[in-house]
Amino acid sequence: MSENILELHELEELKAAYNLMDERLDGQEIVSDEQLREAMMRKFNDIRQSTKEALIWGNLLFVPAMAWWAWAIGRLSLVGIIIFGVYWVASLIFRFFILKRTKKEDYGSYDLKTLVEKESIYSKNIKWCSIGSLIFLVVFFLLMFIGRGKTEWIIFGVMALLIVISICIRKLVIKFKYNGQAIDPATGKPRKLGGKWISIIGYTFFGLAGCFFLIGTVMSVIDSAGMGWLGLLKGLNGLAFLLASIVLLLGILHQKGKINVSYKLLVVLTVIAIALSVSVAGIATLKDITELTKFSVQTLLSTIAFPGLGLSFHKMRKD
Amino acid sequence: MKVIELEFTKLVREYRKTIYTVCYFFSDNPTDVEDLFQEVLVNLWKGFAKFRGDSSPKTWIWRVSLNTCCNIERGKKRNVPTIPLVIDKGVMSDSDEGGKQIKMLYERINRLELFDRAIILLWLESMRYDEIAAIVGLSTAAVTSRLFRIKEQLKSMSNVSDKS
Repeated sequence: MSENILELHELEELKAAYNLMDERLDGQEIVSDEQLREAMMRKFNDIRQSTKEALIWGNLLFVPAMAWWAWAIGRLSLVGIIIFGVYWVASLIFRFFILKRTKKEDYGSYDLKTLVEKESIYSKNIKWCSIGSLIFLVVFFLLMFIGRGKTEWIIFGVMALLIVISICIRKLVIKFKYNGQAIDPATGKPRKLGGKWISIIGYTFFGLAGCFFLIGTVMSVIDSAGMGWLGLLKGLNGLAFLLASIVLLLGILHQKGKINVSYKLLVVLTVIAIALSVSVAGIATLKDITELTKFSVQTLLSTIAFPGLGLSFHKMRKD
Repeated sequence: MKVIELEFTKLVREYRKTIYTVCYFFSDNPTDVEDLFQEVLVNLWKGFAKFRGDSSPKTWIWRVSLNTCCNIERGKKRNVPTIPLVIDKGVMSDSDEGGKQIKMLYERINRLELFDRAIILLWLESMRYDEIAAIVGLSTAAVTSRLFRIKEQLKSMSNVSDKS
């Protein structure tokens, strides 16, 4: 008791300043109706979505979309289906069972130490998932070289891209969401997360993956049963349709408040999709490829309609 | 307005000073205070339906405010738009002796690590050690020793500023 009194005496200056601040705040309204309305509105229209959720939805939608694309250009074999399936299920498990974050609703039930511990565990999981993905990728590349000459190049390329995109997004999450830091629960000190090595490895793999993806795509076109222009145009048509579908999905997810996507990005994707589609329709007409003309007109219509809807959905969000 | 919204509004207005104080000591500048304040409000509202009075409203408010501010840290990307606070800007200015004292307090507390900042704020609020322990998740003994260390740190800051 006497020790406490002594401490109070030594730090009475600080106590006095704190009490003075309290007194000065007494007559202040501080919180406005606008602030309260804004806070209460967000419970129901929660737009505070993290990149993590974008990653979840991106992965879960992107993998089947890519599988569909691979199938559309005739490059999806049984092995490919298994690889996509395994990765998709693994994504589900990682996102929903391992990469779990503390819910904001529970901020009142956790004490500070538990909260920082949970956040630290989350950050660690992100790191280990990235390392796990990298190992997976290395094994994949090895498998690819073993299976050289087979028809799985494009699948491997897509898989590599998916994994590297995941790593990059995780890195961005760490950088922007956590400012590259986590609080060490043992000391309470901020601890730096991630390192340069992860950037170097990430960019190296990104470059490699891009190369393999391109090789895979070119190979698939050349190798597409000697179809020449038809094979290439079918591939481009599929890509245009895929982009259009992505714009629509992103627009819906943005409107629902699941993710935040910039309007400009959707416009850019739309322009690319339409340009691809118009090119295919034009070349098909010029080359008189009747098999594709009707199909490419349908794709052209969907590449206008889908992004149109997507952009409308994007604009419908009220915030 | 629904009953739950009225209750929430009443609670926030009652503890507005607590929320402001926490945000003030975890911020870098006045805009930061406003952003943090809004973040805390959002988290309070999100957890309000789950709050069943297991702890006192005061403890709950302190816990959510500290958890939010600590977790966001300085320099982090904010998720909410800035809405100005209804406060006389002169209250925190250092134009008079009282204002200078408050600024001195802010500068010293702001130099502490986040966890220590939370503990010292609870101590300044005259909370009992067991209450502080419950909010930050340490044992009472750990809070006692930690507070001792923080006070030593604050005193050394005081000595440095006295010499200068």
